[in-house]
Amino acid sequence: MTRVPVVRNRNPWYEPFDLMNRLFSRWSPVQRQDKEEDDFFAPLLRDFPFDFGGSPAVDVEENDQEIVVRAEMPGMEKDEFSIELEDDTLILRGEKKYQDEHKDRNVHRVECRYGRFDRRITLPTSIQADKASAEYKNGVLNITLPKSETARRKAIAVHVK
Amino acid sequence: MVEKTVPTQQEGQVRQSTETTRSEARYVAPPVDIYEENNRLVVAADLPGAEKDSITVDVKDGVLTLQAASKSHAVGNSMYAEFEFVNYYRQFELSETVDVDKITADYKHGVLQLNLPKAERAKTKKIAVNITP
Repeated sequence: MTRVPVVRNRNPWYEPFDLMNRLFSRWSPVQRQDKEEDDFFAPLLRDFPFDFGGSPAVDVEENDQEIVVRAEMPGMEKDEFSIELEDDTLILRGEKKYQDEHKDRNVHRVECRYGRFDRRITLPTSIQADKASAEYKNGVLNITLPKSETARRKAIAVHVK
Repeated sequence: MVEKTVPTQQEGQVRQSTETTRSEARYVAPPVDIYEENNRLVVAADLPGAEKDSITVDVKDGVLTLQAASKSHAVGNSMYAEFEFVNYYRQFELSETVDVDKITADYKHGVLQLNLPKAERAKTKKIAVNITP
């Protein structure tokens, strides 16, 4: 049972958001086959907040009109995750369940991530929460957050005398 | 079946590799789950962002190759990036017990599931044991 790290472009020096957000992104990697082990380690792992590689990878983009937050979370159903907005914080919660109800299964390899996640992303500008929309396609969640009127970029005309 | 369902990406063992010289595309080996049930082997690969039409799966000389591509949907300037839309490529060596002609594939929510049925001769057969006192 190996957890293969996928190569990610993660630059710790380029993070406009607070490092604390990452620390509070919780994750319980339920990647085990036998039940006993699961019961023993699961509570420990759930309370261990320093698993940086755990929660879904997130991209944040911005243009004049909106902020787009994208999360990579393959293989989930619509009712397995939720998106909430709390002031300027976007909360992404969910759980990808490991289908271990199949007792006759002979598992060879588990590399995909399973478990619970709770990711908080501080948004860089104020947004119009009531106009936010989200789309889940090909395992990628796209959240579009229109910027509030005051946060939009405006060109200032310069009068040269 | 167990021992042979291994990635063929190890050093010196690569049978075919993607051409990297003229393409700027980057390849990532997707994480997979492999399990065996009901006389079939299931390979589930996480390919987030991959377009359905871009996925190709082929078997040649006992090597299963899966490839997929994803398009970038950038709408503005990147402020924070932990992942990018990449191409996927991974190979597995199959044992002879897989019935290559009957492999099927499903793609749903970024997960590609390959069903590799076992060949007739590799299926487990129950043998009734008669115990005579």
